[in-house]
Amino acid sequence: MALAGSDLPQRQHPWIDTFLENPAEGLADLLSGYARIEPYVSAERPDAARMLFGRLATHHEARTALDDAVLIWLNDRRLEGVPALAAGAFERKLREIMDAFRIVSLLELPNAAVALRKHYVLWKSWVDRLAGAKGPDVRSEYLSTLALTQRLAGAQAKLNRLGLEPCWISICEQAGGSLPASYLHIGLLGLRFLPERQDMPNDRPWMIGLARWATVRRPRTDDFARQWLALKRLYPRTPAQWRIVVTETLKQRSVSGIPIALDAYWRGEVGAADQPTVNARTPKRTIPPPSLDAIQHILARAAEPLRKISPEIRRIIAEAARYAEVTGESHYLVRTACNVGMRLLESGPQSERAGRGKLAIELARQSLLWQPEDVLIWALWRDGLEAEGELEVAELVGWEAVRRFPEDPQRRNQLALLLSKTPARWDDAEALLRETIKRFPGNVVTQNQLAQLLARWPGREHQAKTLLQDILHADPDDEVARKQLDRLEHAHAASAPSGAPRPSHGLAEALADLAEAHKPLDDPFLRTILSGGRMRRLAARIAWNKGTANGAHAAQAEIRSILEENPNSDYARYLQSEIQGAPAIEATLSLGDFGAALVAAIRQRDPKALNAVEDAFPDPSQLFDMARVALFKDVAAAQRAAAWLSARSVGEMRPIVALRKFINIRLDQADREMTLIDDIDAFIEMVAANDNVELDLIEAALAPWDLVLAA
Amino acid sequence: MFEAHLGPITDHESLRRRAIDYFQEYVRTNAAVPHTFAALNSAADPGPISPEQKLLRLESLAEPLSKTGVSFNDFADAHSKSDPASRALVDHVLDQWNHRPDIRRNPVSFAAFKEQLLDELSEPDWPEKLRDRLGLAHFDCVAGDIPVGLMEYEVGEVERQAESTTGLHHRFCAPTSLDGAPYAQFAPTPIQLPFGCPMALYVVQSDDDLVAELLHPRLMYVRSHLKRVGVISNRVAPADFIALRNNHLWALRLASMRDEFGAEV
Repeated sequence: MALAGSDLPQRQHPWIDTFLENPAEGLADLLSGYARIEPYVSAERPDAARMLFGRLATHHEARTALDDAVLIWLNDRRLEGVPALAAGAFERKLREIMDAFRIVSLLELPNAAVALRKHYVLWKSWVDRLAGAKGPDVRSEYLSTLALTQRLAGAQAKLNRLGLEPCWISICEQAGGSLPASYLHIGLLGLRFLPERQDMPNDRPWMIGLARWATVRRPRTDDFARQWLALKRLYPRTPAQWRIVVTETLKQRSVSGIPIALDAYWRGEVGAADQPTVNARTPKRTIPPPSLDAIQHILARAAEPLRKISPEIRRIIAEAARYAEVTGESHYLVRTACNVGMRLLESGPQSERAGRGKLAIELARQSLLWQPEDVLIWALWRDGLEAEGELEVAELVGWEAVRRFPEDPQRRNQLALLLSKTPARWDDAEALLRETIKRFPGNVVTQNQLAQLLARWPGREHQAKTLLQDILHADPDDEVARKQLDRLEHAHAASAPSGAPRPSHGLAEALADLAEAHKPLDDPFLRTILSGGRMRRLAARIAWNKGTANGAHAAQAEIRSILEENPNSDYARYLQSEIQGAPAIEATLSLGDFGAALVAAIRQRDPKALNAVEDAFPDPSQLFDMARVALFKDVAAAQRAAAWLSARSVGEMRPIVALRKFINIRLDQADREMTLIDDIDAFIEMVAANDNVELDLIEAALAPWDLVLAA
Repeated sequence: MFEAHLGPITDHESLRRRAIDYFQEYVRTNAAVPHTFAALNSAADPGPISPEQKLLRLESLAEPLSKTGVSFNDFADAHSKSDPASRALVDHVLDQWNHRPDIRRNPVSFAAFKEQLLDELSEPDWPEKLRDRLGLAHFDCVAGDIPVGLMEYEVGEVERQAESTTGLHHRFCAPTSLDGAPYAQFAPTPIQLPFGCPMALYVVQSDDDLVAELLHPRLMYVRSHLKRVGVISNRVAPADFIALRNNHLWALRLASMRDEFGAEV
């Protein structure tokens, strides 16, 4: 079916002149329905826009003006956050926003398409917030706009071609869970319309998305069959080709947990069940995984001059990236990048340290696009930045890792290690370590690290000794503590650092750092991280400076500056409520502020408030169940939570992964391990008695749900 | 209710804008029962309608196909076949059209009676013929062909589905000027006719050319509703709007036997 017939360009509609006189006003009138666009008044707004602008040549001034006007209009709405309007007007405004997004994909407006993609994190935090405020589902329109424009955006600007792939996979996995079931089709649409990959059949990404949905959501066989048969109809292949593709898809590590019945159905449907997979001819277009010998060889040469080994490293990584692109299997890329990156940083002369750091950063960033949930990559990135001399950025990356992985004490310890390398930051290092000890009482590594810091701190050696003695009292076999104590007792004097530590690095100083960090960054990837890291550092400082009026004032200023850029950041709004005091839960819910509402409900220990938050944000239910166990000793919630903890984790969202790990840590601390969940009463008592669980709930809920860092 | 919503009106433009506001916020709404089907619009309720009667709607398939990533040719081909994969593909599109929040559907549907459109349906260019008879001026292929689907269902299906919707006062009603934004193509119908009559896109010559039209709540579609698929690829033939409007008015006067109804332009 031809788009825009051969008689283009058509005579333009008279309203186009009105629009060109004032594009901003013209667009607002079009979206609100006021524009005089007879005979298209009854059309949906995007369809009307297509009839008005679609007949014009691609570079017609009206189309260019529309491209700019739509982006400006959407950005203004984004900065407004959630419209404060009565029900009917609110729904109408959200429909207008959806129509504006749709106009971008329908008319293929290049600048707006690139901006919606490039600043994914900012747009997504807004549409997520709107989704929480109830009303027409703006988020679904934004996502389908991204899906339909990803090839256009990729052709217009230098973007990561496959940057949205993890987002689409995640949507498939969460469809029917934390996202509405209909989102499966948006995720699959996104995978189907990914930019073409050389040597990879274009059916592979959506088949992996379908398989991941089946693995996580475990649909009934007939539901799976309906999805599969419909899409299969659109991709003519011979039976032999389908056998190969299905067999290869099911070989993927990420779908190894697919229900047996679905596995059997799928193989059976394409005839692969009768034919051993070993007989399936390997498609010519498949490439082998990266050579392990080559990786071992380059690891062994890590100490050689960087200029000699870097071309070979880049070649190996490119090969692994290529394999990931073709097969969707990123395991080799990520592990190779981490191993090679870490070895690079451990080896070589001091003179090459910055260069090695730079290469390690390159490897880490490439890997994070594929597996943003891998903590080792975050460590590599942070260490690479430190080696490069970018200490402030390294610190913020460290804080962002703490925010994203709150259940992992190693993220905190490693950040403290980085801070303790600068005497001026010893205060912060100490505060972070003490907080970590409180949050993870059984973690001896943190205690030893604190003792090490205190031992270097002139005048505080005795505190280090006392701490080490306490560690050894609890565990006389702790060799690390024993050696530290021996060294301390036999040392004539602690080697004083080159400069005495300056007083507490408080909020005022943090603002100075921020002025630097607030420089406009044209790197959305880094901006996402720095913004998240700043917020987590601020959260820590608010906690450490609690009660200080000056600190609160400075923190308010900082939050204002963060909210100016992204007024929809759930975390920033939570921080705002921490400083200003939480508004009424009803008010926060109407604004879609999940974080602030949940924290307020937990702190108020009010079952009605918790119910209200759950009504507005029903997923993830595990969070609410655990809150009811901790706060109200709710037996039914405890039974559900115990069943969840007993089940295997498959495709859970980051906050739920964090919560699961937190609770397992608490169970381990109680020395009852998983057997405890068989005894519901004991489980309830343990959870309710542990003060850390309340913070576990808050930190898990505020861990970013969206792992995509930039598109 | 409409009058209460209006507030002070200073000129024709402010009246037009308030009417648009009313339509957008109280009729085109999914958050509450559209006023179309609320008790305050009971005067437009046509009363009982025999449930076996067939209704027709001409739907644009442009957005459902675009958002599902299915080409018109693939969809038309699947619709013409009955193998499991073809049926699954048609179901796939209809299911998403019904449920995906990013695929637009007005909660208020216009529908006409099939028996009055048999002539148009017998023509090879039935999509354009239906468009013209039903006055669908916005199905204008000025920017490219428009894929359409002919949806056919019984009055009883609408009734049954509406039973599960709370708050509806009536399931069918005659369209009024408040059920859409102010629009030159809309012509009100005298109260003597318990239905609406869309103004055709050509100059009608008698009241036989009028077709009865009703509004009902949006219906969830299934495969059996989709009778045909086609394409609108020819633009509306130019017509003298004044003649079009005045002849439509005369046809309404004849049909309702109210010679004084309305005023010519």
